[in-house]
Amino acid sequence: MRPNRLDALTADRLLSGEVSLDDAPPGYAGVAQLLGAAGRGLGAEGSVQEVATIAAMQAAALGHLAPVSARQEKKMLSKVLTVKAAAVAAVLLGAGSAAAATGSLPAGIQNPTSMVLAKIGISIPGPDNHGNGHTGTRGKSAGHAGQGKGPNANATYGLCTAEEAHADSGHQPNAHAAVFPSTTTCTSVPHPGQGGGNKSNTEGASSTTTESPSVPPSSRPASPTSSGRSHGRA
Amino acid sequence: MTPTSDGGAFDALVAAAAEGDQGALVALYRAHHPALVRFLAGLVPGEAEDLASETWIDLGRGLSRFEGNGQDFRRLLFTIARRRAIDYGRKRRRRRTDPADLAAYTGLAGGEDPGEIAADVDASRRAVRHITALLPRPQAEVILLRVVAGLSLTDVARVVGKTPEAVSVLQTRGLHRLASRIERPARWERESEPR
Repeated sequence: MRPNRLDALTADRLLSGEVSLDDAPPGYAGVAQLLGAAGRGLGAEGSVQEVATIAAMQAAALGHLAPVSARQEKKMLSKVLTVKAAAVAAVLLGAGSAAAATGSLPAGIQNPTSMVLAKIGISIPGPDNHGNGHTGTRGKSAGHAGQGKGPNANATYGLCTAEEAHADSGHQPNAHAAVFPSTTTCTSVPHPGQGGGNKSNTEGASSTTTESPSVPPSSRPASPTSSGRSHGRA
Repeated sequence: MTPTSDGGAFDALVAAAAEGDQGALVALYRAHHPALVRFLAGLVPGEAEDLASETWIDLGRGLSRFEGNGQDFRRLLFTIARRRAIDYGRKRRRRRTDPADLAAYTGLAGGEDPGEIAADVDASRRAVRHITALLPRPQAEVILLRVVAGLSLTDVARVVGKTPEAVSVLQTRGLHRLASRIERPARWERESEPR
């Protein structure tokens, strides 16, 4: 005969030891006996490892056996911080070196840096010659203008061709004088792709376009470089 | 008086143990260790003593942060023990060279290692093994926590991470399964007699 399934309350009483063998539900006498035996004699057992276990437990309670995870966590944290600090230092050093080499540091820092490095045979620009060589190349007014290349050449050519197209369409050329360069200037502007133009004319045009005092401020592009860039790329 | 029966005395005992007082540690250990080993022997035969020692050391690490009464302490102890047993089972499954667990093939107590049977005359241990051999792991776990560890239904639910309702179902099924499988109630008792 298969025993019936117990209700929750009876099962709980059976497991709590509240049901004696005689009072066990039908078919559960053996279970009651088994459960009683399983929970019996728990105080009588000794342990061969008692001394060693209690000693280790004592050390753990006193913190002598620090949790491995906590120790590893601390170690890892210090490693991570060291690596981060080294990375930041490397970045700062690299950025500082680059700034010093290009002479971009403030004068108060660039000067002593330049002097110190000069003593060990490394030459970097000092604060006084900061920017030397840059003005000539910036805007391509000195080195590259003669070849008819660079952003200003593109801008100037773009403005002039736009003005010509504007004039061809029957509009008054002076209506947009503030934007377009003067006609006389445009006549000497070569195509930027034509590197072998008349060098002297190109130089003259370039200087005229960007720096000529003969052009009245109202008829010059307010900002040749910026406006030229946008037109040149269009 | 047992260490867990008096709340105030037990709190003082735990506080002393947390400070490394050897007498307090011994009292806690002796009050709970037999049940702990019995419970672990049901889950991991042959490794119960070692796992119990690891459980005690784990408990020692967290003793200074423990807050609660005797029943809370017992629940914490068996929670750690159960996790230790689960971890051990996982590690053993990962190890290819690990010897096969004979208990897995024996099923009922009648097929156990003869040498072990001869050495083990403890009817109580045999009863625990019988329970674990007859029941699926979740049901055996719940019944051992109730009977051996002496935990309430609510405490067992917290130890195994289930709802009390789920634990109630597990224990009812476990008891029914035991009753169905035990054809001769005294068989396990006869087997435990010394040869």
